[in-house]
Amino acid sequence: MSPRAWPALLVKETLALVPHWVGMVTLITLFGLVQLFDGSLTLGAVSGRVSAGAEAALTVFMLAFAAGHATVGPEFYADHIEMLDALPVRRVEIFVAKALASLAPVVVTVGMSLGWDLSSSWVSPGAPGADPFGEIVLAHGLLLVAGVSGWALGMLGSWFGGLGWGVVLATLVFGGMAAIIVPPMRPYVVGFGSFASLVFVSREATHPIEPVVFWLVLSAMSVMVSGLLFLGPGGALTRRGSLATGAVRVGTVGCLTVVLVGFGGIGLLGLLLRAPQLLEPIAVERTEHFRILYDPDFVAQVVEATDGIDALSARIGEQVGNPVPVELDVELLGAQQNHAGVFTGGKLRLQRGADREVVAHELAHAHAFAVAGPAAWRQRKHTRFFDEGLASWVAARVAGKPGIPRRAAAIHALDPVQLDLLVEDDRWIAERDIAQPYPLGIVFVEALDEAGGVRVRSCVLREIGALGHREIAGLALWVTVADRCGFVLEDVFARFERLLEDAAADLPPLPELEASLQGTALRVVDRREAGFRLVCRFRSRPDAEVGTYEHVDVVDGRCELPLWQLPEETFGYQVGFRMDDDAVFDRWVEAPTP
Amino acid sequence: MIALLVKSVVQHGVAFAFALVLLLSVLSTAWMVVLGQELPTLITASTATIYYAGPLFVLYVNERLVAADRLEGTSEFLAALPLTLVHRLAVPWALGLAVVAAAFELCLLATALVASRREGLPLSWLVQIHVQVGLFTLAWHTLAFGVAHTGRNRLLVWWVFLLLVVGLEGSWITNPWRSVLWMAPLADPVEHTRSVPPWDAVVPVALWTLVGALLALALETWRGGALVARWYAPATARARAGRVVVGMVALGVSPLPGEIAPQPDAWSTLPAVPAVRAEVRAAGRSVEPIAAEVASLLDRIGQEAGVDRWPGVVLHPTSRGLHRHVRRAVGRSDTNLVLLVDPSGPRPGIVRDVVREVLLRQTGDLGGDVPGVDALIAGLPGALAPDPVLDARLAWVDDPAAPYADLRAEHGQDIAEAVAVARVRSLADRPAWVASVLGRRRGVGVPSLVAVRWSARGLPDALAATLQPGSRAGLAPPGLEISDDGVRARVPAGAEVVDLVVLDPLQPVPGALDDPRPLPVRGRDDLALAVDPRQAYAVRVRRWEPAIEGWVASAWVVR
Repeated sequence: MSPRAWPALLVKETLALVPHWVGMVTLITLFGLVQLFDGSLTLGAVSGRVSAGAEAALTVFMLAFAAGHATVGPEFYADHIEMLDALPVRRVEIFVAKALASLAPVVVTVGMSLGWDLSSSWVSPGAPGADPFGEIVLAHGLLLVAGVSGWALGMLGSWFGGLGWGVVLATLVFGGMAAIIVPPMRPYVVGFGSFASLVFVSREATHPIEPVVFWLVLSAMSVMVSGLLFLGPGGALTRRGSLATGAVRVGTVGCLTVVLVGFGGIGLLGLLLRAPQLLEPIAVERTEHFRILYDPDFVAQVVEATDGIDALSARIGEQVGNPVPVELDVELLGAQQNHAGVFTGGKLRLQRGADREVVAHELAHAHAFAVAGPAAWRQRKHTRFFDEGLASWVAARVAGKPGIPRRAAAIHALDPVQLDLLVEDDRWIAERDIAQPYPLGIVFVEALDEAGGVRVRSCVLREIGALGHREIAGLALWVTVADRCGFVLEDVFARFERLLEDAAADLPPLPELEASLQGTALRVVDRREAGFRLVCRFRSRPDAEVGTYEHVDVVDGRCELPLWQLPEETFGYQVGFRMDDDAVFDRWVEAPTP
Repeated sequence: MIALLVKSVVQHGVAFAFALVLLLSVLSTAWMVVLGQELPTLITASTATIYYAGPLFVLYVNERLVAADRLEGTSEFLAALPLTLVHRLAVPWALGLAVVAAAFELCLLATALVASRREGLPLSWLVQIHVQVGLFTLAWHTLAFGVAHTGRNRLLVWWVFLLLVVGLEGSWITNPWRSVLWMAPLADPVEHTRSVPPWDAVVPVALWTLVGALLALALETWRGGALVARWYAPATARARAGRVVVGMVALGVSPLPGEIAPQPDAWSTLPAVPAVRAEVRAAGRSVEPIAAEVASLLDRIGQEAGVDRWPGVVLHPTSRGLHRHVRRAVGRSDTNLVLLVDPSGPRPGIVRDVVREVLLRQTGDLGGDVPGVDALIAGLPGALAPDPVLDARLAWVDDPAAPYADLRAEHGQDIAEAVAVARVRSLADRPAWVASVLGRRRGVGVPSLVAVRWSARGLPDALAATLQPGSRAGLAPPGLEISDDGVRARVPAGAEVVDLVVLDPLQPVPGALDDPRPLPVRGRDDLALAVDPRQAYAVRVRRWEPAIEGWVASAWVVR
């Protein structure tokens, strides 16, 4: 081919990709403009953004896939190849021009992003001593690898038309699932894994090299195969009804169907296995206000738990401040893990052998719901300690054991309770033990009791419901509720602290815990040697479900880390001690996973 | 019409059956989850399947009934037959609705059959759920039917809808899913709405159904359906580019509603103390006197700086866990600066700290990293009031010419602040500088940072007052021992508190050191630190000095 034909060929191929150029440049320009006004960029280190490289890598991968996908295969589908063959250029030259033209927007997009980040780091260098240059360059190198991979796979996928998209999306989803099952695969998986996410070890940004090599080799092979197909055999692939396309279609749709239907089949199988249990007769008993459903095998426990439930409900209604009887289904047929029972808003669902205290606890929730209304649930992150405290306070009275729980006193003694944390449940759960608001809430209700008893309790519920629709901060909500109900929040909290401190005076000396990581174990020391059984608890991330927390007893001063449960790059641990059949935990500590 | 119906059933029946199998597989998986985890209500499995997987089923059905007919040319054939437009519209719409409703009904009834044996499932509740699902189905299907008439733009329309829905979240509308969108009847789990059904969702459902129906009708009747025909014709590269641009622009602007909508003031229920230029709220009686003094000082500075309205501030009493007497609350408020205040601390120091935070917020929180502005903000509150301990504090400074940020890292906030106060007191033409730096409220982002830097050019030189080096020796920094047993800090004599910060690896140096975890060490000579040697962390020690009513701190040791 004449050297002068190259520019013309490149221009022709570039013009064919105008939508992709426009899309990528528009996107990166808009992101850049958004970044310009992003406060977190100027308030923190620039590198805050590059650490979350997985999302950016997925975006670049998919855009590059689109560019690659529009390149070689469509010439055969649209019968343009015959026209191209009539040009005075060889097919291999056309392929090279197509490859360069479709790779160009990917390189330019990554380059623009690099330019944005370097400019931003120059204008706003972040904390003194931080040097984001290396991190930014490394992150963009990885983005380029993701882009090249997407582009190469896009070219390969173009031989299967629109089905190529299905193949790549299915591959990403299956890759993500594989990364969950086999954590070492995570750095290899784009999008749903951690490819292109930087790992920081002692302040140095790194990324494993093996996934980069893997993707580059795969890309080279994909381009090579696409090139070979473009030279001739591709026509057979793209012909209507070709065997290869049919095989890929059946493979992709079939795989997805097999997975989906497979899960469905497993579900059905599970249902069949449970059939004997589901088909067992349920006993139903009606009282004046309740319909009690229970397993006849548990009749003794049910009778004990629900005997005189109408009177019990009326008594609880008096304590909560709800004069109107509640009408409910009470199902003693099983409750989810970590729950003795639950009030769903429409019924009580309890463990088969739930005792009277649990019934009372959930009934208290039902009465509180009747007073406050459903809007109150929208403020639950500010009121959980009170909701659970009130229900536990009522249940403790029903069970004949009122007073300040020793566990609450120990919690406060170990780490004094802050009101600002107690009224913001998300922060509480991130920093402290999710279960602690229950006993602490009992003490709060006890402190509130001195402010006016049942009148104040029902007023608090009503006012929380009245504020339920508002976007309101936790403390503002409580100060407002206190004002409307005629008490001073600080006085109640001061009483709350006094009650806890008085109760703590009766406690035996509590452990003084120190913990440090040693390899794959946590070393736990009680400096005071107070004689309590020590425990550790682990979670994979701050927002992990409580059911996934892993409890490990301290043996010989150590807890082995449950590494199979900790797939993330960091994990959280708590240390604590057993008290009254329960545990008192110190704060969560985040640490890098060994 | 019957023939048309039969033709559609024959043409699409197998595809619908296949889609139904997939939907039922999802349902069966949902059963597995609910039964395996003993969730309270099995009926949730069906409503959750309908809520999350149902829309895909609806889109698929409409894709077959509307789009496939158009793309394969069937619609042109039908138009040539003696069928009215109403028939050609009503049959696919009604057939689609019947298919979707039947599929959802199958999900519901199958689940109800199982649930009736597992738990109490009163008929009244089942009827209520049917009505909710019916409304949901009607709205989704009619809207999907209307959008299917937008031809090759239909993906773009759904994309914009998706961005609109996401963008609305946190803007003018609170919780759009359950208040204004067509999925409102099932937006809350049905077990939550059992006793309080979401009947207020009828209005948005009716409106969205109307939108879908009118869209289909308008497009099909306008100039004999010319638009639909054009939108289903093969696209040129330019048309594709146009759609891509619209999609990308929609993506780019989708965060804007959340950004420009006035954020609800989460503290507005608290009364503000009387002030002219300040809005200071006290979230507790113990901090009301402090709030009054803060407001008064802000009024004075506002007069000097020409500021009519300072950023709102909320004082939040707390007595635990503060390494100083004032700290920003972790949970941010976009409209207010929320500060935790320990009212038992020295009042003048607390007022200065609060005002300093307000001044910092006035600069979009950017001033703390701009040389000169950091010192002006630190020193201005103290410079306007007599300070009996100022000289005592200055006695601890061995290098008074050092930049404010360095002094703070070397000696702690209280000592560094004294130098800043002395410098601001001797600042020539102070009102002009204050007006230049603080006179205009800054936003966030790079343009604001450039503006703050521009307003402060020359300020570091103007603040370079000549001070005598102090004679008091500061605290030695703690030593660190790293071994197989972990990290231990060796505590120098006289230290009372060890401050520990486990650093974010992305922010590895002192910006994050404002909020350390204080560990009491009075009388101890070492302390085990809850850090991993591979982590980045910083440690220092400090001691309370009554003579300066503040803390004397060592330099940070950063590892």
